[in-house]
Amino acid sequence: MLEAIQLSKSYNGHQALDSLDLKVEPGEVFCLLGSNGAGKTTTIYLFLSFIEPSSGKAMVNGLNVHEQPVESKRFIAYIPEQVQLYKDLSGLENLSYFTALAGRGDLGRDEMLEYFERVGLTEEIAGRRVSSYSKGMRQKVGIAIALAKQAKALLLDEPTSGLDPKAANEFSELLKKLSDEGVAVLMATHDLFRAKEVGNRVGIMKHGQLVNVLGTADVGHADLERIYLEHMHD
Amino acid sequence: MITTIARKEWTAIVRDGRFRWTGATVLGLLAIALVTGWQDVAAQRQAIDTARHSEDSVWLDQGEKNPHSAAHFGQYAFKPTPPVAWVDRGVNDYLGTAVWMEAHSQNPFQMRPAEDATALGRFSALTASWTLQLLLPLLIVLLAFDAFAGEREQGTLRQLLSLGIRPRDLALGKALGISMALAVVLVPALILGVAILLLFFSGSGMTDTLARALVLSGGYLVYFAAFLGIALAVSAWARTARAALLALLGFWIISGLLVPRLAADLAERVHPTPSQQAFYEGIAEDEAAGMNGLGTRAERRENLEKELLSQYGVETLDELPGNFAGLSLQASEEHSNLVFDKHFGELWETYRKQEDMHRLAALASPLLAVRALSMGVAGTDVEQHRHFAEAAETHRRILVKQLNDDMAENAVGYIADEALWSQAPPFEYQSPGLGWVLQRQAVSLILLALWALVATVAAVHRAGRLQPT
Repeated sequence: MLEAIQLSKSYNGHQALDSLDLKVEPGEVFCLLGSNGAGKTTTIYLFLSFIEPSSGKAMVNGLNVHEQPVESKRFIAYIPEQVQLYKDLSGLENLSYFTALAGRGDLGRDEMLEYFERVGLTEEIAGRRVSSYSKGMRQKVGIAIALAKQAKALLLDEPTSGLDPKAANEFSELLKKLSDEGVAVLMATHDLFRAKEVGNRVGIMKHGQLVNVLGTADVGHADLERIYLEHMHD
Repeated sequence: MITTIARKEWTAIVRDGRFRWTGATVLGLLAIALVTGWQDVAAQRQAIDTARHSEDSVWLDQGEKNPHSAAHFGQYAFKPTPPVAWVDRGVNDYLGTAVWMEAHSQNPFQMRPAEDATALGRFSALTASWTLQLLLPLLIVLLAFDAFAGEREQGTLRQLLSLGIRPRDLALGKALGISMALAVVLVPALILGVAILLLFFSGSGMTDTLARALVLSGGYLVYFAAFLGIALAVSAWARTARAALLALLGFWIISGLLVPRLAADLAERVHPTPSQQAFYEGIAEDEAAGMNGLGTRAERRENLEKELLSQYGVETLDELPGNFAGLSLQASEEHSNLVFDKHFGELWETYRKQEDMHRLAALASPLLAVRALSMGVAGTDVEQHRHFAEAAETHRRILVKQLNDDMAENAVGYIADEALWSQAPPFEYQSPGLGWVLQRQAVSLILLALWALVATVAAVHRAGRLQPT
C-alpha cells in the first residue's frame, strides 16, 4: 500500500532523507522511530507530496505521489501531532467538511455521528464548537475523518504526543482496529512503548537513513529501547 | 468541491464577529451614500429644471431692445445631471453645471458645488463611488488576508492539502465563499440603488439609465474580483496572516491613495493647466493682436469696411443695405470664435493628455481604471463635460449670429421684441449614449479586465504552490 523506493530528499545540501526503501502492507502498522531531524516527518511529507523528492519515488497504492498527487491522496489519511480543525465550526461540521472534500459528501448526519461514536465522542461533543475541544478530542476527530474517508493508509506524525495516557491508549486501540480492518499505517513517533504496542514493525531512523528494522513480535520493550539507544549513541 | 469550500468559508466568515461589524459598517455607509447621493442629484436636477424653465421666460420677457443687447443679455445653458450621477458625481462638483452664453465670450462654467462646500467638506465627501472604490476593497482585504495564510498558521492547511484537493478548486471555493459574504453587503445596496432608480428617475431614457447601471455594476464587480484575486494571491504567498495583512494594506494604500494622488500631480506637472488669469489673458492678447494674420481690431474693422464697400459698390457705410454695426459685430464674433477654438482647444487637449496619463497610471492601480469607467458611465467625467461645453458653445454661436444677422438686416436704431426672441432656437442638448462612453473608456475597460485576469491567474498560481507549513 505504501512504498518508498530509493526515496531521498535534501535541503540546501543537507540530506534529510537518504535512499529510503520501505514497504507497508495493508493491515500493517509500521512505526518510524528516531530523534528530531532523523527524517521521519520528511518521509511522511513525501508520501503526502507536501514536498518534492530529490530522487526516488513514494508510491501509494501503486501511484507515484509526485506524479499523481491528487489521485494518490484519495487512499490516504493524515493525522499530525496536533490535528488542527476550524474553531468556529462544530466537530460535526469539521467532519462533514473534511470528508466532503475527501470525496465523501454523501455522508448523512447519522453516519457521521456513528464515526464520532466509533472514536469515543458523543453526539453532544460532536455538536460543540471545536474551540472547546481538548487535544485528545481533536486527535479523535482526526481519526474519525480518516475512518469516514475510508482511507486505505494512515500517515501519522507523532499522533499521541502530548496526549494523557488514557487518551493515548484509546488512540492506540483505534489504530489496532483500523489495522485489523486492513488499513496500512505508517506512524512517526518518539514513543517506543506505543510503537511496540501497536506496531508490527519498527524502523529506526538516523540522519535520514533507515538504520534498522525490527519486528515488534521479536523484541521486548527493554530490547527495543536498548537497540534504539545504541543507534542513537553511535 | 468548490461549493463545499465556499459554504464552509461563508459559515466561518458569518460566524466571525469582525465581518458582522465591518460588513454592517460598510453597508451602512453605502446606504447613506446612496440615499444622500440620490437626494443631492434629485435636488440638483430639480434646481436645473426650475432654472431652465425660468430661463426660458426670462429670455422671452427681456423686453424690447437692440438684438445685440439681447446677445449680451444672453442665456444660460444647464448641463443635465444624469440619473446615474447619484452613484458617482465625478468632476461635476468641480467643473460646474451651468454656463452663461453671451456675445463675445465663451464663459467659464458656474454652479460648482465644490465652491459652496466648506473647507473641511473636501475631506469628507461620502459618495457611493468612494465607498465602492475604497472601502469595499478594504473589506475584501479584511475578509481574504487569512484565507490561506491563516490556514497555514493554524495548521488546517496541512489537513486540507492532505485530502487531495486541487489547489485551483481551493482558490475558487474560497473566492466564492468570500464573494457570498460580500454579496451580503452589495446585494442590499444594489436593490436600494435599483429601487431609487425605478422610483425616482423613471421616464424617458430609462433604458439607457438601466444599461448604465448594469455596466456600472459589472465594472465594479470586475474591480472587486481583481482585489479578491490579489488578496488571495498574497494570502497564498505570505508565510503568516500578519504578513499578508500588512502587504495587502500596503497595496490598498498605494493603489487607492498614493498612485491616484501621484498620477494627478504628475499629470498636472507634465501637462500643466493654465491659471484662469493666464488663460483669459491669452485670449485677450489674441483678440487684440488678431488671429491668422487678420491684424488688430482696428485693422480688421478697416478691412471689413473696405471689403463691404467694394462688394456693394458704395462710398460710405451709410449707403450699405442694412446696418453695418450688425455685420461688424458678427465679423468680430467670428474672429473671437477662432480665438476661442484655439485656446479652448488647447485647454481641452491639456485635459485629454492629463486623462491619458491617469488612464495609463491604472497599470499601477485598478482604482484608477474603475474610477474612469465609473465617472464615464455615470456621465460625470471630463469628456462628457467637454461634450456639453462644446454643444453649448455651438448654440451660443448660432444664437449670437441670429441676433447679429437680424441687426444687420435692419436699419440703424432698430429695436427687436419678443417676436425675435421667440425665434431663437432652444438649446436642446442630447447627452452622449452609452456606446459613445464605452468607446472612450476602452482603455479603462481593458486595464480593469487585465487586473482581474492577472489577479485571478496569480491567485490560482500561488494556490498551486501552497506550502502546508
